[in-house]
This record gives sequence, structure tokens and C-alpha cells, in this order.
Amino acid sequence: MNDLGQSLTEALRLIVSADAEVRTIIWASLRFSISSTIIASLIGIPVGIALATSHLRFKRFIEDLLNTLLAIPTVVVGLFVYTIIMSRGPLGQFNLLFSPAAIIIGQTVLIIPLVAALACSSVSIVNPIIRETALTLGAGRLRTTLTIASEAQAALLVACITAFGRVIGEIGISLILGGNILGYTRTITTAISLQTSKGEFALGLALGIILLCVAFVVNFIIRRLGRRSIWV
Amino acid sequence: MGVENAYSIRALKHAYDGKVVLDIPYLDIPSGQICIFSGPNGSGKTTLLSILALILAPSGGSVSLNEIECWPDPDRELRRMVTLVHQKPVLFSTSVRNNLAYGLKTRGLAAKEIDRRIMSIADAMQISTIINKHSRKISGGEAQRVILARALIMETPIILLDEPTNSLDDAYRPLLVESLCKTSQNLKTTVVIATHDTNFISSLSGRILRMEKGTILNPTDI
Repeated sequence: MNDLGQSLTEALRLIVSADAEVRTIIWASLRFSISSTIIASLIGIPVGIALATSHLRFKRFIEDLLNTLLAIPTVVVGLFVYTIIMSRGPLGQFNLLFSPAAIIIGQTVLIIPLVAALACSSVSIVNPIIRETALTLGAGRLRTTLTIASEAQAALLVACITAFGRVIGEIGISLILGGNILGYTRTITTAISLQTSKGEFALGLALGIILLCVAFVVNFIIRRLGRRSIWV
Repeated sequence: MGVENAYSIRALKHAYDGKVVLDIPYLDIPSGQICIFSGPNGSGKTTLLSILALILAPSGGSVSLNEIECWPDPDRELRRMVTLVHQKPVLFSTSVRNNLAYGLKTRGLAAKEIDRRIMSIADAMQISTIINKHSRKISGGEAQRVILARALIMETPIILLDEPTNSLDDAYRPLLVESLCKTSQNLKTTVVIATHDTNFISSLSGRILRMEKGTILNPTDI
């Protein structure tokens, strides 16, 4: 109990004093997570919209596949990307392993199915009369699709934020592909893991508190945007 | 010289899950007139309008628009000749002004012309005061008038209206009748209306076709 109290006090001191190591780790985490969320959104949202508005023969199968990929453990994605970017892998020549790029690639792979699945379901529930109205007002296929997506914009934003929440808290990919190098690839979650294994809880707790704050902010934004998405 | 037809329908059939809901052997709808389909709910009015609006492919038969066969693949130019107003008010989630401008932008009209048409229709439909409001912030009756304005502003050769008086306040019914008559007379627009509102029907000077169980009882009255 005494240890916990001391660790908590030290953790709060690290946060309040904006400790350099804490700042470096948080900045790395945010950089990787924001980058992977942007890339995954640029890929996943068009895929989800296309899937929702198309009449593909295997549409249902693709949706099931995307939903299955939502449950994939981060370490499995880490392992999969590892085999591709390791020195003997297909992308080995680019020396990506244990670099920020490796983490961003892994996290992007992890959340593309999440963004696509959420985008697909968001667009699927848009009032079908919107599509018919756009068509009867002379819109072509692209403009009609963009109009439908625009009606679901709040839900699409929620999909992006949910994806960000997934990557900011993941550890498997960061550990396997990043190597937990201080000042380079060390993220909040890998730092917590390392500090805990060393029995030094203060920094881990400080980072844990910050991670919780980030999660709270993400949830707060999701809730606010979710309210706006109601169609009247 | 005979009257030109906006639509020529031959042996039109439509079925949902094997059940025939529309069966019209023969029908011509002349250009530049007001044509009213009246009948109880479930008589096939909405299905017929969806087919005429080129958003629902019929199960069989032919539909010609200005003597051009519509199905199986109506092109964009053909679609742009028709505007449909649904019976349930649906506005895009943006301002009233953007809703009115939507169809005009798809046709590539100049901003000045778009503004001119918006001002003109807003004045005619008495929605000038809500033009900059978000579509979620207006009442159901106002939404219905904006939807009608969004259709009329297009000045397409054909306008289809599905139960246009459903959400319209009684006070604005004369406004709707006046707008439709003006549009039909001044622009020679073909106005096709599906309704079961007998008061509304009696206020319009158009041909009335009675529908029941998916068929038209008096197809040659037109």
C-alpha cells in the first residue's frame, strides 16, 4: 500500500512537472496512432462506403470477413507484418523493422478492417430515400455516394476516433515491430510494460493515467459526435 | 397533329417477392398536363411513380419517356428530365439553401443563376425567412415546402409528386396548387401526382386516373 502511495505521488509529480521522458513517450504514441488512424481512414472509409453502396455478389462474405478481423489479436497482426518487413521478408530491403514506420504499418493493418466495417454499417443505415432523392435531382454515381457519405459524416468521424482509441492502447504491434527503443519507438503501452517488469511503477502509473485521460477524451468526443449523427 | 406523350406505358408489370403489385396494360401521359393518380393506400401509386422516376426497374413491360425507352438502363440525361418528390419529407443534412441548390449544381449552373432561382422559388413558396437555416431546425410543414421548392426549382420537363399534401399545413395547400398550375402552364411541365386526398384532387384541374389493386380503372380517360 505504501509502495502504491509512493508510486502514485511520484507518477503525479512526473505528470505535473512534464517530465522529458514522459513527454517523449507520449509524443511518440500520439504520432504513431494519429498517423496510422489517418492512413487507415483514407483506405478504410472509401472501402466501407463502396461496400455499403455496392451490390457485390460476395458483399455479405466480405462484411463477415471484416467483422472477423475486428477480433484479431494485435500480436497476430504484429507477427504478420514482422514476416513481411523482416530482413528475409518481401519488404526486407527497406529496413523497416524496429522503426516508427513499422509500428505505423502494423497499426494501420490492424484498424483498416475496423474503419471499413464501421464506415460500411454507418453508410448502410442512411435513409435510402437520400440516395433516390440525389438520383432524381440529377446526381451521378459519385456525387450520390458522396451525398450518402455526407449524411453519415458524424458516424464516419466516430469510426476514425474509435480506430484511434484501438491503436493508442495496443501493445502487441508496438512491441514486436517497434522494439521498444527509448526516444524512437517506445510508446505509452510498451513503456508501461517495461517499467512494470523492472518493478518501477511510478513512470508506468504516470503513463497509465495519461492513457486513461486520452481514452476519456476519445469517449467524450465519440459521445458528442454520436448525438449529432441522429437524423431528423 | 396529335398531343405528344411524356410517357408511354405498355404491358407494365411489377412484382415484389413474386406478388404482382402493378399491372398496367396500356397508358399514355400527355406532355404539359397535370395527371393525377388517385386511389387507396396499397393501390400501386408509389410503385408506379418510382418506375416513372427511373429509380425502380419494372419486372416487365416498357416505359418510354419522350419516345425514348427507359429500361433496362436509363441514362443520366433521361433521369435529369424527371424530378420526384417523395411522400416522406427527406432533406439533406445541410442548410435549406444548399438543399435548393443541390440539383442545380449537379447540372453545372452558374452561381448567379442558382442564386436567382433560389430567391425566386423561396419567394413563391414563402420560405425566404428560413433559407439559411439548417434543415434540422425547420418544422415539418416548412420541410415539405422546401422539398416542393427543391423539385420546382429544377424546372425539369416532368415533376412527379407522391402524396404532396401529406405533411403540408392546410394554409399552404392553395400555395401548392397555385405553384403546380403556374409551373404546368408557364413552363409546359408535365405534373404527375399520386394522392388519395380528395380535397386536393378537386382543387386541381387535371386528368384523374383511378387506381386499385395495381391497375388503372380508366386508362383511356386521359
